[in-house]
Amino acid sequence: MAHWSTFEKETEKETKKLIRSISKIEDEEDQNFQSALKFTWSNFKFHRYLDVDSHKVQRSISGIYEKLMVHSDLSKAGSWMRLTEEFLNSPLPNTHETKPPVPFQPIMGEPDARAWLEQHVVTPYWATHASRFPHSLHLHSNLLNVWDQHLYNTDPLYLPEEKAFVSETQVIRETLWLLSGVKKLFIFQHHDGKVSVRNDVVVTHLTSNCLLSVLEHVSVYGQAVFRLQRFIDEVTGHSSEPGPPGSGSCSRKGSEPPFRTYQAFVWALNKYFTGFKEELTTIEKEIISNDETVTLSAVLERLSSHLAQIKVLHKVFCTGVAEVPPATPNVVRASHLLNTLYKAIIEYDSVGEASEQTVALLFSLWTETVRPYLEIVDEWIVHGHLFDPAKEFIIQRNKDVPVNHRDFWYATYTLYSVSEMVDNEEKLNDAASGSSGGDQSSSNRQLTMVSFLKPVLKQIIMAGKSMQLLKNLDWKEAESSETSSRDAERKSLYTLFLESVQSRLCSQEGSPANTVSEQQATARSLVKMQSIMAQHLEIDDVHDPLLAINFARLYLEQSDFHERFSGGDFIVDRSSQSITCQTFELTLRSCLYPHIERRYIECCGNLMKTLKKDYMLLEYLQAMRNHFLLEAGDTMYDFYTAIFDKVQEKESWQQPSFLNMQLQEAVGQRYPEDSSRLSVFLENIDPSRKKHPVNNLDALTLSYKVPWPVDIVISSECQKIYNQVFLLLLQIKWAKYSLDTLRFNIAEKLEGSLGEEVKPKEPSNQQIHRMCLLRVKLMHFVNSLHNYIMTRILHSTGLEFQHQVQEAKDLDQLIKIHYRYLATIHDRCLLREKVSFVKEAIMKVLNLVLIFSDRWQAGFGAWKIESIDKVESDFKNCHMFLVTILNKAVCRGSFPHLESLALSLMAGFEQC
Amino acid sequence: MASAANANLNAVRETMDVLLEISRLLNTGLDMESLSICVRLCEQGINPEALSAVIKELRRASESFKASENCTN
Repeated sequence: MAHWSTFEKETEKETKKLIRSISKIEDEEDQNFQSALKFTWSNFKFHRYLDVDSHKVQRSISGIYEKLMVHSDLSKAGSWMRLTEEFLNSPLPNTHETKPPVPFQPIMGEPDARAWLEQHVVTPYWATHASRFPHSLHLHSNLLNVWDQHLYNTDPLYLPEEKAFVSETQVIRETLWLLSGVKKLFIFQHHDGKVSVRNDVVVTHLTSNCLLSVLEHVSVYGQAVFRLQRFIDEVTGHSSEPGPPGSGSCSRKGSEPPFRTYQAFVWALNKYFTGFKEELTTIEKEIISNDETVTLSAVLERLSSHLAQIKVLHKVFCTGVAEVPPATPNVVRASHLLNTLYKAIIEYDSVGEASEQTVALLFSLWTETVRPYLEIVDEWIVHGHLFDPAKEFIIQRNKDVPVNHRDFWYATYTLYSVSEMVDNEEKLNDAASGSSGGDQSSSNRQLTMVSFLKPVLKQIIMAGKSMQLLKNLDWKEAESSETSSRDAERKSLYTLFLESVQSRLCSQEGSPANTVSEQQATARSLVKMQSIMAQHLEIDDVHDPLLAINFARLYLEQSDFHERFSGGDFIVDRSSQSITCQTFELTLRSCLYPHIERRYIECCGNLMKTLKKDYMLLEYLQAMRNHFLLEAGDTMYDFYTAIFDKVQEKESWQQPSFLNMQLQEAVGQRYPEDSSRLSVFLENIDPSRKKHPVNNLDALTLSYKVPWPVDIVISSECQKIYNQVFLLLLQIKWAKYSLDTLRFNIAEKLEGSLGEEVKPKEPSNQQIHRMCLLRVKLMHFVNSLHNYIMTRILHSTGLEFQHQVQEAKDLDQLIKIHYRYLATIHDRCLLREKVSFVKEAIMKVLNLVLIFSDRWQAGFGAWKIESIDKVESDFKNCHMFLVTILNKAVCRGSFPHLESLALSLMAGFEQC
Repeated sequence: MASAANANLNAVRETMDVLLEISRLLNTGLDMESLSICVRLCEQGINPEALSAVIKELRRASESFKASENCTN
């Protein structure tokens, strides 16, 4: 029995002693002794008794006590209890020698304990020159030696090296420890993040190369596990190894706010690893219990799905986190990570059923990781508060711009836009309030930030800004409604999203009772669809059954989607980069976007309502039109006629005090609330410009003080445009007024100033007649122009504008509508640069009118026939020019609204 | 060190005494020597029930062997 261990030798000794002491046979060679020994050994090794169970022992002790009590053996019972308790409470002795007189050996010290463990638990294979354990000499168990022998025989230079022998169980256990993240191992060496396999480890039943290749395959996964574990430790702040100074996590711990997206990602990874480690522990327990044979390949087979998942996770981690340069801002990091996960899901989703597990894992990872992002969005669009301490959201608040600042709407938030494929970073400040201008220009070439939010980014921004504005607007509705008090019960966006996902997945699975029939129905429809598809493909000479099946599935899925989610709640954005038929995209569209859309509509609707109701937005717009566009005709008439009169009297009217007083008087009668807000300014105009009488009024500027927040809509740029139109209208009104106020007392003036000095070349009545005719022609022209502008342009555009304002859904839209309205008016009043020659012609005519009326008022003495001729011919030229131009434009069809003007002008045009 | 060893020694001795008392109470028929052997065997991992079965069998066998020897004598 040379191969027995020390332990077995000890037991043998004791057993012999026992037999000697019981059977009193001293001779070991005695046949009886030998049979007794054999009997004892076989019973020790192969018995059917269970392990010692403390509960059973306790029960027996209590049972014996009861028995003794029942037998009225009280003293015995008492001593029984006492002794058993004493024994159970005493420390366990470890005895070596048998003879009672000889004092017992003392309890073993530390080195002996180690020796005991080495002898009784496992041979320390990690120590050099460890003792070899015995193994069978069968070929299958002894392959290594046989192979070594073969190499020795065939290769003269072969030198067998010193190897460490391990058993397969030890290899399996080290593998399991490697995969659970243990660093200090014997077979797998850990160095600078790389895991390598010792090349002098062998098992007896495989050649060393074979074992090495298997273990190297495992070490790759071990490395992935280490890397992921290190990342988890870094983010959670549990790093055991101090990094070099200045490396990420250590310096970041106390001072910086937590990077929530990474934390969420780490949390999801951790959850996965917990499950994985549980699986590893289960396997290890099975190995320990030794009920079944466990081989390395069986273990690797069992873990194959997990290992594949770890590979995917590692890949995603490398792309999404590890390859990001260290100085990248958190915005880009978070966006990149989410984009990487998103891309990975789409990629694996397109493979189909083969990677369902991977997609499920990645989807759960994505759902966890996106949670902080969605919570930021939720907080912003519901409470108007953008809480983002680590600056990881793509929209950043400009803290310098307070809410009630005039530029609030435009300058408060910056949309961070980074191109993913190009190395340069382009920061685009979003000046056009919420439109993702950068994205639209470069969306063809590169991935935008946070691509999963792209379809609803505008709505989020609008909702967020609107909420913030509302919060500062003393939103009266908020106090009365119960929404604020029920905030704790309100479901966050993330919760709603999860619920929708769950309901969608559950509804897809169906109840167990219907599953079979549903599956059958689906299978039947699939088969039917597939045959249809196959026929279609054959038309194009394509014989591919797999393609046909996938098309069929595609169409079935689409129809299913439309059945479930019909109704125009949201628009399926087909311009996005991925195919809309992917399951993940569908999930997002149906589970996330509708909630955001709903919130956007609600929130922006509230803002609109508040602006209209509490801040009288519509009234202000109307006021602008009343005073600038002269819709309040009678009011403004009083104002401007006072000016015109002064001009006619050749008195100085360019005094702000006079102008303001007139304005206040005029407006105060009918619009008292506006009188405090309106004021008149005189701008300094370049004196060289003041050539013509019609330009006399150019310096006049009307100003309307619009309070915040309405001045977001009616900005100062808008007022400038209003002023330009006001000026034009004023000029037309002036011309009209000066013609209207001409009186027919010219005959007297004529006769009065005639007489001795001048001999008229023509009879004076003819002259008067000519002047009257000219006056009428001029009046017709001015009136046509005036009517055209006031009715066709201002009135109808105004109606359109009002209608659009009613329909406006959010503030951005309203601002755009307003701008467009002003642009239209500006355009149609011929104020554009392109049509400046038309305007010049009109101005020339108006100038003529003013000169004419001036001369008329001055009396006939100022007139000469040549002047009348000149005026007539000038007017005729201008008139002809305008009619031609306008007709051309109308015939071309480019300005349909000019048709009426063209017609009326043509009507006044003399053909002769 | 010596005192600790002594203390340990005493504790072990006391425990063995208690065990012997229990064994006497239960009428096992084991003396101190056999008892120590049994304790050592149990500590080495032998199942106690198996051990007791073996002891009982050995006793029975040796009784019958003695009886047969007496008969032949």
